[in-house]
Amino acid sequence: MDVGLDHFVGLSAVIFAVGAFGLLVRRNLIGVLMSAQVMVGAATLALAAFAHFGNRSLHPLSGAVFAFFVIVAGAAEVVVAIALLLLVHRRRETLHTDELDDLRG
Amino acid sequence: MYNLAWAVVLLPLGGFIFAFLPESPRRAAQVCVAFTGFALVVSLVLLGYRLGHVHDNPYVSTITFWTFDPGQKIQGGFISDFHLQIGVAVDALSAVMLALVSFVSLMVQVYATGFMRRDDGYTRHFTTLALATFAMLALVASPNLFALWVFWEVLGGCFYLLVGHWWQRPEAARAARRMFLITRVGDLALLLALVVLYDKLAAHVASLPAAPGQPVNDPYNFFTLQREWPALMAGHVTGSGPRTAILLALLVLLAALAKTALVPFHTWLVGLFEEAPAPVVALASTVTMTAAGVYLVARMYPLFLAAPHVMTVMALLGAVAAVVGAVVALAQTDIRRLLAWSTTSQMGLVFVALGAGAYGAGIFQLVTHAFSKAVLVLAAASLVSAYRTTEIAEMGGAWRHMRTTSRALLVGAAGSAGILLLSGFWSISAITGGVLHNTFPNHGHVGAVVQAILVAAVAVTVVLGAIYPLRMFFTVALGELPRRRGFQPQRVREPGRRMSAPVSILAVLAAVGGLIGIPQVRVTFAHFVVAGAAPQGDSASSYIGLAITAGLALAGAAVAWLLHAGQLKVPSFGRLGAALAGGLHVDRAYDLAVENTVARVAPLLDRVDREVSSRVVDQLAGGVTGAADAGRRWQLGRIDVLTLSAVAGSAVVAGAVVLGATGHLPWVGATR
Repeated sequence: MDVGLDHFVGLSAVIFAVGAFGLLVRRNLIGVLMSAQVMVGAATLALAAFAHFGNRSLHPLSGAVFAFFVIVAGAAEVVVAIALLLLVHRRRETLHTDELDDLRG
Repeated sequence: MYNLAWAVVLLPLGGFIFAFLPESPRRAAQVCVAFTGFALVVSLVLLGYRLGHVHDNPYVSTITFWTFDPGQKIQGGFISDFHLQIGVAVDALSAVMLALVSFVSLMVQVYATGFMRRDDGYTRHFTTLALATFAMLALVASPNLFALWVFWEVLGGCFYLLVGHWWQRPEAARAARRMFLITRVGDLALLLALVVLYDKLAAHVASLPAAPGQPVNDPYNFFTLQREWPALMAGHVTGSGPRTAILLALLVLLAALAKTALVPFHTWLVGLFEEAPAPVVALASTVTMTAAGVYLVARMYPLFLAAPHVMTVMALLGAVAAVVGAVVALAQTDIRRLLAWSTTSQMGLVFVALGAGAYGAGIFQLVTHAFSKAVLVLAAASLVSAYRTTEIAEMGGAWRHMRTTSRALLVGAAGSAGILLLSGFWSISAITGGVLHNTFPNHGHVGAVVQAILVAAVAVTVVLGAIYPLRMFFTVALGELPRRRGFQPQRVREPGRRMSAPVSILAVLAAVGGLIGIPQVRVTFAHFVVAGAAPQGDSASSYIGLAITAGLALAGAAVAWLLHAGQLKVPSFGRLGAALAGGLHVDRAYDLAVENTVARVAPLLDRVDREVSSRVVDQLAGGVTGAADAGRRWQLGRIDVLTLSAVAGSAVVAGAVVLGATGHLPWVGATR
């Protein structure tokens, strides 16, 4: 069986759905963060796949470059997010989303 | 070369902007002075170049900042293709005015560095002076009436701030308000003139072949309009004729009268002289506010030539202002009020000259008056701060203790009086000669009766105009220091060099500045500003004008001396004298008129505003607040709810995109 664009897009959609599900059902903020990262990974995979199978006039590495940027940005983002979570935990002794409702209007 | 005019106009604006950078007020003032100085240098270069190319066509450079194109041209209607433009135009008149404005403004700013040195609003004063200078330079460089109107308004706003510099004093705030409101009448007239001009001429001008480099003719361009007034008078423009020209000319004249403070709009000038800081007075009365009105008439002169009846009206109004101003000035005991009335009188002479067709003489008088009046105002300010009084009778002995200032005062007084060979002599005799010659550049003239009135008015103004400044000078300069309680004789000494130097430079020009306009020399001032046109005034009337002016001014000077020496006594005239000293109570009449009309209606409108408008607005605001409170309840602030709504929203958008792209949503237009 040939592995084509459809397979990659399908895999990406499945991973994205898993991430979205996790984002909605997890009650621990670390879980929420992990789920969000899974979604970003799914989107990156789709980007790389489209670049590989899509327009031949592009440079073959152009999609990889974007994927690389997303990974770097994601790493930086996780650092900030973990630091925030750490601070929240220190102050509130909890990371449970039901107890954190400071954004109430 | 002519695009240097952009630099002249924009440099003071640069001064205004960069003066906000330095921390210290002193440095801010220096920035303003330096930028105005650069503007002066560039404007002198420009003037020199223009002098060498007398017969050049006007240079016009514009920026179109708003284009109005309704798609189709409706001929004869209100709407036609239209470009609003600002820019610079250089011809002889604007080259002269650019140099004059930047020169006097520089002198005034240098004087102000000394005069305002202990003032809290030092930086504010200088930045506003720079902005006012920019507005006036942009006004005189304007290539069209629209741009002129824009900077006309900016100028009025600047002087509202400048006159109200000491706004903590109610009188100063009142003077600023009065000036702003009275000149507002003229602003409104000018705006109406713009509307009428557009309505009547825009379609016609747009149908003419466009000027090179322009997609369409600007209906406000002076140089386009200049060619079209004769066509308008001859009825070649659909929907307008001589009555349009007369209406336009009257509106423009009204605007100029209010800005130049001629009778009956003169009342703001007295307030300005009494309450504004001396540099502001010197600037407003010489090269900005009053000069703006004269400049407007000079710029629209072809229109006035097309409407000769309005020329007659202008000359007569000028004559009234000249005579009334001179008579009332004679009755003044306060040095500032005397100078205010003298300004009205001298500006009246300018309008007499313009109305009698002596265009060059009128502009020439504006220039020499700028020199001598700036000297008088600044020297008087030095005297007032030395003597701690504004009453002329309480000063004396200045010649011995303030020699430089007194010399400048003498030159200014004698120069504005038209004493032989000083600057005012040449310009006033040019006016006398022009009124006697009585020929317009388009070969028209004023009627014989009007001419007789004008000649008489000019003669009276020259005699009286020599009496009051010289009498003031004799009283202030000669005699002994006054003796009164609390007077400090040691204060009567020369002010610092920053204040005396600009006054001396201005005094030199007030003395010799008239030499540019000696009649019958090959290229004189009058020939230059009419751009190489045929010289106005024949030699006979020029020489008669010189002789009459010389004789009358010297007679006036002699009377002034006799009055000072006490050999002539002035009858007090009882109530008439009091009325004259009070300026004929025109301002009181205005106050009464306002109190009986506007002031009665205002409380009513105030109640309507409070009870109706405010309440409606309050209700609206309350509704918005209530809706916001209701909406807040839905903000739970729960992270899971927030993420769920974000995901759901994204899903809806993504679904809509997919369905739309695959053609399942009929109302999403299939693009291809």
